[in-house]
Amino acid sequence: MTEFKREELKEIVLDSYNLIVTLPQPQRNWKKEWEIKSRSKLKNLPEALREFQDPSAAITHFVKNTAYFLPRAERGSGTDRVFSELLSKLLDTVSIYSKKTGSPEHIRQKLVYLIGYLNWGSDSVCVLMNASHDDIHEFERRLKAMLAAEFSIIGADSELDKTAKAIMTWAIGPKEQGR
Amino acid sequence: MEHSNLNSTAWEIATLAMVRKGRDVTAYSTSQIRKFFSLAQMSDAELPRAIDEAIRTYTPQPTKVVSGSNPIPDLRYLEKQKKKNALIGEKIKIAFTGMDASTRTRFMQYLLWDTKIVEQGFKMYKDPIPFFKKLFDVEGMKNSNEIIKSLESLVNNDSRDGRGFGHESRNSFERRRSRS
Repeated sequence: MTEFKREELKEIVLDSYNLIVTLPQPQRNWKKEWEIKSRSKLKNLPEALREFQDPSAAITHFVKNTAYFLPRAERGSGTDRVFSELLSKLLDTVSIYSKKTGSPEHIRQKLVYLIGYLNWGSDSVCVLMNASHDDIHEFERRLKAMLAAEFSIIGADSELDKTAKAIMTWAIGPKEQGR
Repeated sequence: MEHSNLNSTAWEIATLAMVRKGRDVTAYSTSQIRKFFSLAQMSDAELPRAIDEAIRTYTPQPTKVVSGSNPIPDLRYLEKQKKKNALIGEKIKIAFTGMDASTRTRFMQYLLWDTKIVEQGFKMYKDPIPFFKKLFDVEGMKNSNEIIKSLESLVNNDSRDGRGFGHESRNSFERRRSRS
């Protein structure tokens, strides 16, 4: 089991939120619940990191899998361009991890956590939006409470307001936020 | 074969398989690459003959150029497609040497994915080269210079050698701009 230093965990968590805000904006589904379109593309990413025992091969496979699947158009979704932005940012993140981190296995583990947090984080935001019943202030309160709990553990308290604002802007738009 | 070699060989052949068709960059024939893919599970003894057969029997979909009022088959295009198919088939045959069936399957999956990644890269970016450089870097590719050169030639290639664009010098982007 890979152990991360606190600084590394902080980096991964903040990176995951940076990736979340490049996802397609949440939309209401037929049940009137908030969800992110084409979420299944993200759900499949962790499998690519487990495809090979050799961590270098696993990273290569993950990157190729991501470059192939993320920008592919899904009929009627209109999200391919949005996912190409996520791809670009994700490649930057992998590049930084590869340069900073020594062993390929450690890089792989960082990516496993990054994608895991990306999935959990984006789900959580939708859950909070649904629980807030269109009350923007309630959504903001819940979001900040969630981030505060997370960020206090990893020592990222100073990033809370910036991250909350970025997520609010992404989730509900800058105009709505000012109301 | 090491995974990194498998990956770079797949990229090398994938970029060779790409052609410019009007504004787009696309594989010369995805169905033909899939045909080679379908042979990956064959035995070592059967494989070379099967690839030769796939090269020999390839008949590109006919395309037509307009000459006066009558459309006539574009023989130059058909010849180019056949030559490209023979080149790719031979390259795949050489690459398959020494691979077991599961490695061949993985190799062909990568080759096919790579062609789609190139297609998408050219659609996403006006200048896709920085994207490919970044991608090769994080894929851990060594010596990607030749592949980059090959992709650069696709950026610069304005020869319109795809269907229906045989005699045009401007790309469709420019044509639209000049109309407006």
